[in-house]
Amino acid sequence: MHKKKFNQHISRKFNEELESIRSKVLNMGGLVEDMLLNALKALYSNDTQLAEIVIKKDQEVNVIELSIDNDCRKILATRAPAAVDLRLIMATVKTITDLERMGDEAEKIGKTVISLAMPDGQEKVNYHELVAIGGHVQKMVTRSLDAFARFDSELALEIIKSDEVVDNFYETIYRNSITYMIEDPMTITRRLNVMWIARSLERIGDHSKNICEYVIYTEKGTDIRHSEDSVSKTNIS
Amino acid sequence: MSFKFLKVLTTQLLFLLLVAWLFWLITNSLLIAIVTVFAFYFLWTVIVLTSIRESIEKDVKITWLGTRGFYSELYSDIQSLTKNSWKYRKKFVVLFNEVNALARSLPDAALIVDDRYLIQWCNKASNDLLGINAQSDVGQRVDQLVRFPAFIAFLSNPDNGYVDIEDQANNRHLRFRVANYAKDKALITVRNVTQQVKTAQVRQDFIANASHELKTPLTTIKGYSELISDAEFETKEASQIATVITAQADRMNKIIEDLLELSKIESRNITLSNEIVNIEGLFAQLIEGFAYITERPETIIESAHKSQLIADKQLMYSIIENLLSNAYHYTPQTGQVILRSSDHAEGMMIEVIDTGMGMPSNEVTRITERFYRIDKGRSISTGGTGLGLSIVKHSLELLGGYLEIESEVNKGSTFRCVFKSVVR
Repeated sequence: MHKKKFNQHISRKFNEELESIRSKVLNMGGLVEDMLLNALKALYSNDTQLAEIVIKKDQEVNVIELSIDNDCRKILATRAPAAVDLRLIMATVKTITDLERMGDEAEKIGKTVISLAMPDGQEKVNYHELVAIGGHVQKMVTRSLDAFARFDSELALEIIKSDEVVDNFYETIYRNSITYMIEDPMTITRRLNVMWIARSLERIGDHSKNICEYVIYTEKGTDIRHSEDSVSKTNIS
Repeated sequence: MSFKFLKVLTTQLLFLLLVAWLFWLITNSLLIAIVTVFAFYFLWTVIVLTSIRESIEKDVKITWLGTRGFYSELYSDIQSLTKNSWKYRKKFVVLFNEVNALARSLPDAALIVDDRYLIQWCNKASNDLLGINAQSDVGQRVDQLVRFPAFIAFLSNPDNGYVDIEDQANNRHLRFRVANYAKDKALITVRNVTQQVKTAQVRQDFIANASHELKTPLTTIKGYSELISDAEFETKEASQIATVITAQADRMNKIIEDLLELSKIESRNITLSNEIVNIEGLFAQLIEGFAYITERPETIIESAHKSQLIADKQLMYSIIENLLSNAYHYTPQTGQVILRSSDHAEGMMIEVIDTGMGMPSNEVTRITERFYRIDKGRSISTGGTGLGLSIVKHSLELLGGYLEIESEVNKGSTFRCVFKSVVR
């Protein structure tokens, strides 16, 4: 669906209101993208100062969520939107909830980075498994926001399918960590932290997938949530 | 009405009246003669004009019109105008294609946006650098597709000229510029400056490391030279040499300290403390700090307003201290130095004005470069390190402000520091 569909109302003010909401959602998405990138950078470089910045940023995300929520409520009350407009508002309300949770997960990673930080001179934990999953999740977040900006359901469907890769990464990290813990109980605390980070990244991937489902719902009017049948998901486009 | 037109009109009318008279003789009816002649004339005019129109549209020449007569001349004029218009059109098409090809081959991304940030046009590099496609993304809002928080903040207030943003996902640095070229149009350009940023980082690291490494042997040199200075020598020359060594070691130590401070500020590896700074108190502290210079020009403090500033007090002190130190160095004892604070549209302004030797206006832009000297011999006579103004400029940028300099030879200089965070 091209964005022009949202610009076809008689009321120019209504067009502007919808456009402003979309911009706010994507600005919020930009902040979350930034938080995730910084959280991963802090993790790879053991940078606790950067992790603290990530933790503080979550407040900004929360404030924007409340503001967009308020805007959506106003539109529902004053404009009584229908059809594609109603779907857009519904998708927006759900998207910002997912974005806010992604921010929370990035904040959790920041907190774990601080607790993982090793004093100087001690050997650092190898995060190579997290580099791979982190890179993949970060791409998912960026692409899901691109799909939201362009209302591109083909791209959204592609991202939904790619979530399996993240789940597989998580499964591997989970198994590896258990093996490490059985072999050497001294590593349990640190391995648990690594698992928490992987869990957070996997959750962020799931939230990106949710956003893509809302994009498809807005554009096609088809609700594909909780639909395990991959054929139906393939057919929507 | 031109003479040519009157001549044509008269000729045509006379010709028609002559033909009408001949018809009158044949038909014996004046009315029938006039109506027939004018009807034929009208038909002839329609045929000629339609033929001319077709000839222009199909680019075919009319031969039966001949070379003489009103319509022939008219046809010839239209032909010449059409020819010229095609020539210019071709020229414009060539020029347009060239500009288009040039924009497409630019290594920098270029986007034209309107006052609502809707993309009107973009080149091929926009896809490589920002993922914005010229075919599908025209009409989209640029801030929805380029979501760097720093870019969105910059877009709403692009006064500073440009902003450098780290694109962490693609491991590169991008420089964004916004130029408003019409009331509701702006050109956004984006350049990949990864190599420049890396080079600057290497330079900064080198300076920081080299300065750090030089500090240890210099401390030893300084210590021994001070010991030697304290000793008793048989000749006066030996004592003088020891004093020179100590003075130069002190100077070198100051340069290294400044270099380390500058590299720390440049790399932004500094934690700023945000505290409320009382300007009057700060000025008093600064003047007290310069009490050791007994032979200095008269200093006037002007701080009439009630504003306070939220900033890093230590860094602010260092900025004004550097400026005051310069003013004292380059102003004769009979001159005057004014330290003034005032309200500014963007926050608060602190000025250091002196009536010293000043500098030529073409040197003003380069004076904040590290080690830049207008007169190469000055460093020895005045004892400065050549890093003071560079430290001032970068410290101000770190605090979110900027420096303005005005100067005139033999009349003096004005250094204006604009700070943005103000509590009224």
